[in-house]
Amino acid sequence: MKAIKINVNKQMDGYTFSILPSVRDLIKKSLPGAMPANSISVGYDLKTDFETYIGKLERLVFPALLGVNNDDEIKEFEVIEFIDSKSGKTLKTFHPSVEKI
Amino acid sequence: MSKRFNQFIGKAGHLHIMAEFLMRGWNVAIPEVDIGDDIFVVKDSEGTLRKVQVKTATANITQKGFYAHFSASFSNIRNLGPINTHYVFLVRKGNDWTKPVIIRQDVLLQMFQEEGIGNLSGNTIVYRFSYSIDGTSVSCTGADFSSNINNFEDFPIVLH
Repeated sequence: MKAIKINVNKQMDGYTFSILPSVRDLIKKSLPGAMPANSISVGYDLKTDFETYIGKLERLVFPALLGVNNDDEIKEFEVIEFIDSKSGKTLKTFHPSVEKI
Repeated sequence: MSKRFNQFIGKAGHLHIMAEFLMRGWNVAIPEVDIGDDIFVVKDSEGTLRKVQVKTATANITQKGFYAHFSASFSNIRNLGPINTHYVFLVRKGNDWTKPVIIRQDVLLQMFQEEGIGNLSGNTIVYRFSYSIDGTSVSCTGADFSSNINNFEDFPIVLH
């Protein structure tokens, strides 16, 4: 499966993680049981340090956002990239098929 | 057409589409402070909120139909928050409005990033919508947008 891009948008009250409709379609096609969401928003009150925040939330955010709930399905994703939606820069890259998330 | 009259067309477009939402049973409101969203559209019974950005333009007549230019802030389109904005594109042709072309923000972003639809100029994406004579089909940068005409899919009729 091609790289899954998760947009990360910093807003006044927190971060919104989202995927584009084409990514949702790709996931549904590749993993028929998956129920990908449009977006997940997390308020700043959970954590103030963004770096810590991303590091700790990654394993929770993308399975929920991509709508998968077991390790075998997660490993289907070769590359998952967290992209800053405003700058287009890659914030973090994961390879679930080869690394433990 | 004067710059001042563009403001009149813009407001007329807002009110026109607000009337459409009302007829579908959705409540509407204009934010007191304008920071990017033109209209809040609300399903009162459930508290469902949708944000709407209205883009208006006047028709330029050609032999095959007509076209219109719209511009939208790129930073607004890629500012994906908890609630996506629906962009409503309206064209004033003669004494009538065309049927609205409704496209959600994340779809517009995808069209731009993955299909190259729209031309980026500074922080603005410029769209050139080409309509058939009767306005029943529309395309932009070679992509067929006709399925987005009157696409109120995310605003199902609410019975009161």
